[in-house]
Amino acid sequence: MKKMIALLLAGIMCAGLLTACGGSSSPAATDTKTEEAAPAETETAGDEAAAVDTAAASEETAESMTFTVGFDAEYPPYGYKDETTGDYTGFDLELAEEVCARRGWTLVKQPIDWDSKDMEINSGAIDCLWNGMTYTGREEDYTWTEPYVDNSIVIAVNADSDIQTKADLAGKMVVAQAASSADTALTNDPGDGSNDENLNLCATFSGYETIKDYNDAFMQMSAGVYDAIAVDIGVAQFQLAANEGKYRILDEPLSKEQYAIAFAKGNTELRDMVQETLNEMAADGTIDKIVANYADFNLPEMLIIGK
Amino acid sequence: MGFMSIVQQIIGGFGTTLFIFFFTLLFSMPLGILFALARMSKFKPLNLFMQVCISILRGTPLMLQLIVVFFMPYYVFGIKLSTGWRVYAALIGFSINYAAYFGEIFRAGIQAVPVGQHEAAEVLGFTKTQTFFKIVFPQMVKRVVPPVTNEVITLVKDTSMAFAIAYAEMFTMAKQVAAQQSNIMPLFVAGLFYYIFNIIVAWVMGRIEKKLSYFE
Amino acid sequence: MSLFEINNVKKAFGDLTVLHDISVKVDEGEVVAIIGPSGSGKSTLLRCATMLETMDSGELIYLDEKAAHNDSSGHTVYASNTDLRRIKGYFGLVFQNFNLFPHFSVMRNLTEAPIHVQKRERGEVEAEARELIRKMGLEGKENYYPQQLSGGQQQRVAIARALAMNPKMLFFDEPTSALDPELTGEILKVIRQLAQEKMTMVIVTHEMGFARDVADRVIFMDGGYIVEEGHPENVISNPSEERTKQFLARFSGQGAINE
Repeated sequence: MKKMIALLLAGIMCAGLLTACGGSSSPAATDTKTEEAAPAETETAGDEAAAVDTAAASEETAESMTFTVGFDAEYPPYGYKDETTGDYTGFDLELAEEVCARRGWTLVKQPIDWDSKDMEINSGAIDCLWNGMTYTGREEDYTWTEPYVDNSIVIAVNADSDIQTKADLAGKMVVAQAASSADTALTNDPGDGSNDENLNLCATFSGYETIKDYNDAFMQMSAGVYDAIAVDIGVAQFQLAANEGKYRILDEPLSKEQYAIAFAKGNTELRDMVQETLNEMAADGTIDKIVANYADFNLPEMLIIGK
Repeated sequence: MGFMSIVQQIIGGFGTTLFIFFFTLLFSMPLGILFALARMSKFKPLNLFMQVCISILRGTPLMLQLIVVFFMPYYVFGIKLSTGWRVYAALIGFSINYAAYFGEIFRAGIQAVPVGQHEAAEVLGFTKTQTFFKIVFPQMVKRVVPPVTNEVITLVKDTSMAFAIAYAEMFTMAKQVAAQQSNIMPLFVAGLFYYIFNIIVAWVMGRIEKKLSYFE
Repeated sequence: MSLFEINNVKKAFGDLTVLHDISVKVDEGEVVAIIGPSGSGKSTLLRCATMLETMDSGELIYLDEKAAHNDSSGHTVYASNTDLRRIKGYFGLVFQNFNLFPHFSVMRNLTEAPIHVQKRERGEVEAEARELIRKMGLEGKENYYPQQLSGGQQQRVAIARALAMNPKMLFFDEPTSALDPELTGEILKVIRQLAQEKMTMVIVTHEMGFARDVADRVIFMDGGYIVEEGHPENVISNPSEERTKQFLARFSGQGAINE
């Protein structure tokens, strides 16, 4: 009996390990493809015409390559669930679709728990973070594309609130999404005094809290739990549009910020490919066409790629 | 955007919830039996090992365990992960965690079978294996139905933790729909789904309990 | 030739010695009653004989087959599991608390072991079981579950279950102690009937009148020793040892001797 139990346990562990290996074999395969493409490009470096050919060739070999974009599906308009189709869409995902179409990659839209984004990207479970991701202040943490959107962090309040300026926030309850750029802007102390203005402002609040997502924050503010929300302007505009007359935005922004696409640190090869395609899309007007779908959110005004 | 469309979008995630639910039960129950047997083993190292395992599995958050299972291949063995690994990691994480709880319930159930049953079986010449499967196991099953029902109902709700490793199930879907519409309604719809599902679970378990009431 | 023999058994639980060098032999067709106060070691002796308890020292022999013998240092060594399984087929045991399998019907309580332990043919086993059920006066109860039966009926099922294995002998461990007084009669009747059929039996009991009537030999135990042993007329009606007299005096007052 004892032996039987031991054998069964051992069997289960083996099965577990086998499944583990089986499950992780596909990214290894993806890796190999990218590695194969890399030396080819280095060899022909310096000869531009040849480089184009090799790029075309490497595209062919990478025909079945998947490109996994990690995003927060509760972050409209950059990534969210479409009302009518139920599919994941948004400005960033539309851009990613176009990049993949041009590169011949298969796009995998992977909604992730935003708090786990670093583990997700470092482990290779996703290829990039493309979701209105703030570049400012995180320059050294990832390998970035050039910024493509300029986003301010603003303060949203209930329309009937007596808060008009940042100074009026003294003694009020303020909230931001956990691990968001607004949260960073209010609480990050780089130690060199560069963020003291926002830190001092935060100190005047009666309370500052973080919350899992902004949708909750707005619902709770209208319920009176919070007086003000520190939030990226795109998200704020979306909430204003969806709930007409309910909220307004203070004139003074908390900070100006830029968005870019983040890759695992050191993955310049994939970054360069995406950047190159994005540049093409900016040059031929495709990005302008896509961003026009998001005029409601002020996105065309925020776009900086190709400007 | 009507109520029906909210329901439709959430149903999409309900399939994933059901998938985790059924496969977790399928794997964790037999595994729970093994855990219980190992936990009661007279072979001290196995017994002690199981005791430590169960203590950790019950003493740390399920969400953390899911994250550990999902990321371990990369952080421990340096294997690059793929998105396809999520579903396996979710099932492994849930199954092992629930096996720990089921294991302790089964152990209590096995130990509650009177010693006289073992003795009667021994005198009749049944082997230990026969005694377990023919005599102890059926009586254990009857005893554990109520506590197992509790765990199964908890599992229905715990499935929402799969999103810790980005495996989008019903509650995640509901939150996404809520975000898309900046409306709290989808969360209530999801709550209704969980509730109805749990009423069905409770009904099924009640039937099983009734079916087993022919003996004491 | 004796059917059953237990020789020089010693058994201690920790510091407490419960059996001091006891030997019992039972011949084929013999009915032996073991009596004595609680804690006298009679139940432990029965449990050692049926191998529910291991002996510290001593020999156990069924039909000339050694289930256990002493090694050179005087410690009990048991035979291999295969041998023991065969030897366990020679005897049956009826418990004080019946210990029926609650999740099996009456029929299945009887047939499960013959089919799965003795590997006998189901049809034959079931026919025999039906006959036993009839003999025990339980006709029509084949598909009942134990909890649907009275204590006396349950104990009769337990006896039938032991008999279904076709044992050479039966042990009874206080078979009527868990029963209401009005139900003991039906069990004693069954045992009497078995005695008439020359079933070899060892019965641990508190029913003195019954022991006197049915037993060929009575063993009185106290403090882990056999104090007195012999024909029931001698041991119960006319004991020679002082301790036996004291023990029996407690029963005579209750009229238990006269069944």
